[in-house]
Amino acid sequence: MTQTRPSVPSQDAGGPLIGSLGAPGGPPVPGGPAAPGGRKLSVFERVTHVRLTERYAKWGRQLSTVMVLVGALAIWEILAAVKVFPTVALPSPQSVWDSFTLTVTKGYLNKTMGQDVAYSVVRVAVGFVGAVILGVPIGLLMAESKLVHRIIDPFLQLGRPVPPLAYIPLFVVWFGLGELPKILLILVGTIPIMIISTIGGVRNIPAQRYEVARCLGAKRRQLFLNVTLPSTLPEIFTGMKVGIGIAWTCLVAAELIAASVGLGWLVEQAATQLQTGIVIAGIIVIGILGYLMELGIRLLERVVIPWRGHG
Amino acid sequence: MAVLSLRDVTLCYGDSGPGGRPAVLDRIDVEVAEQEFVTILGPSGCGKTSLLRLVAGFERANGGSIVFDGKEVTGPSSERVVVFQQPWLYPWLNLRENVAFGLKLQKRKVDWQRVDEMIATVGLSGYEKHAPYHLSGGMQQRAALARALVMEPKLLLMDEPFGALDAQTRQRLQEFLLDLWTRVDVTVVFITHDVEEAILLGDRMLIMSTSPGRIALEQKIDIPRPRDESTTLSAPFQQIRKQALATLGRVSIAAAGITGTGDRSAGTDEGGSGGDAESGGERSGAPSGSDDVQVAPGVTMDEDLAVRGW
Repeated sequence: MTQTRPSVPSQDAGGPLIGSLGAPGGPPVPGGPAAPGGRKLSVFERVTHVRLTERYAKWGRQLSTVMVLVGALAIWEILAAVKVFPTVALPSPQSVWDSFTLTVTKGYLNKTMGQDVAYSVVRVAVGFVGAVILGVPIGLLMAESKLVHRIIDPFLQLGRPVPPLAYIPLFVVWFGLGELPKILLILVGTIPIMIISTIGGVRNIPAQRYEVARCLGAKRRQLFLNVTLPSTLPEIFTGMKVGIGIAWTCLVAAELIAASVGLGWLVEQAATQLQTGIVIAGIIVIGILGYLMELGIRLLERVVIPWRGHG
Repeated sequence: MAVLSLRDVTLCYGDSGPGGRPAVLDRIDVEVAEQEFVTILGPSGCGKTSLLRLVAGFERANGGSIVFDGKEVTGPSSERVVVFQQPWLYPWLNLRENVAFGLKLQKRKVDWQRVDEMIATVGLSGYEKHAPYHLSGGMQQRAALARALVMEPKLLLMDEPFGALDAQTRQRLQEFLLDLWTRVDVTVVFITHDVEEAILLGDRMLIMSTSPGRIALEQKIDIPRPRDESTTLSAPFQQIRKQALATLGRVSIAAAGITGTGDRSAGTDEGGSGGDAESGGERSGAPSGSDDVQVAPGVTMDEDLAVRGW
């Protein structure tokens, strides 16, 4: 629910519809349902009867996220300090940080954290971009042509229930331990979601969007370029947001099993040597990178389809 | 002379037709003259939208012929442009690009001056760069109208274009269309389920019956133009409306479940005949004055607010 519209001053001034309950500066009314801008009141506002402007409310939401994380860190620190678990199982936040900085500066097993991150990110990027570049046109073709759909759909239906990890041994046999099997695994894992969301996007286009264009003289090719493609973009982006998570999962799995550099490899190697600090640091880095990638797609989405959710 | 003529047009869906449900459209004969404004009135489900879709070329009839401008209708064409109940503007295009959409499809260089003139004609100057979803419903529908008219179609097919709007916006747009109609040369077939709208706008009104869809009444509307909202209070208007309601009532009884539509329009009337007279008297002056305002690029106050208020 972060999608907020710019608050409308005239709406409050207009009065009669909302009533004076949420009027800025007015006396706080217990149970007054709406804050300025028409959003629901936060816990803070309901308890203190102080009405926040939208801007402060947004800061408040971000602040709460930070506080939750800080709280979790504190609990972790306490658990580590009183040694509820052996140190080798749960090192303190400080020692995890030390492991992290050491891995960044000196490296672990001749690979620095920077190298691991770079390899992992490039693998995901190549595999994921490949899945989008191949998956979207395949999805469009399948949606436009019954024949293509009939040929590809059985593979999609049979391949989808197979966890991508099940392909790893086969890919190692076929392609060895280089970059190709890892990228292919990401591709195989991510392509179905791209194809399926693209098909869904085409199928969900309201018939009237086509009819408007047809009665204005659009030919088949023009319908595809001017109606189908832009209309499908929102669902393609939804597929990408899901797909980047899958791609990242596939990558780490592939690196856990067959790699000599990369975050998955780092975590796996550190675990075999009981370097739990490095394991935890690696997991946190994996989490942060995955989150950043999804964030990147969200930003791209806002630039490419600012009209998403409208009409 | 007729620019559009329907002969024996019959349409059946799936189980309808011989032996099954009655045909959606049963041997419809309609002639529309050039520059004529024909309104088609009927309860929901009577096949009036199907009829329009056949003329638009979105669907093919099972029987009969539809001849437009001397040629059999076989598919959609930019000579017969449809304005739908919803504006269906493309959200990824701004208002100006939406209006120019049809011209762009024709591969000729877009005459942007013509586009801007048409935007001015529908009173949306100054909103060219706006995203359609930042415009009010009435403004969006006027943009859809501009998108259709900029193609200079011979026939404009309107499928309850004001049906999704609130009563006030609807009234404003009716008067706007009446005024626009005097300035643009186009033949119009206008579908509605609103009796007053059908009489107010049309040169001729066709009332359709349900199951099977047939023309139940053809009524010439000899009320002189220019018309505006006050026209609805005039004696000839009331007389035509009474007759139309009687026909609609007869038609609705024939089809179960449709009575609601007839009742509603009849109900509004009875309530209105007494109490509405005074408020209508006030209105009769105001709209004719605001008619000129409507044409001006400056949009009426609350629509303007609707945009800024977003």
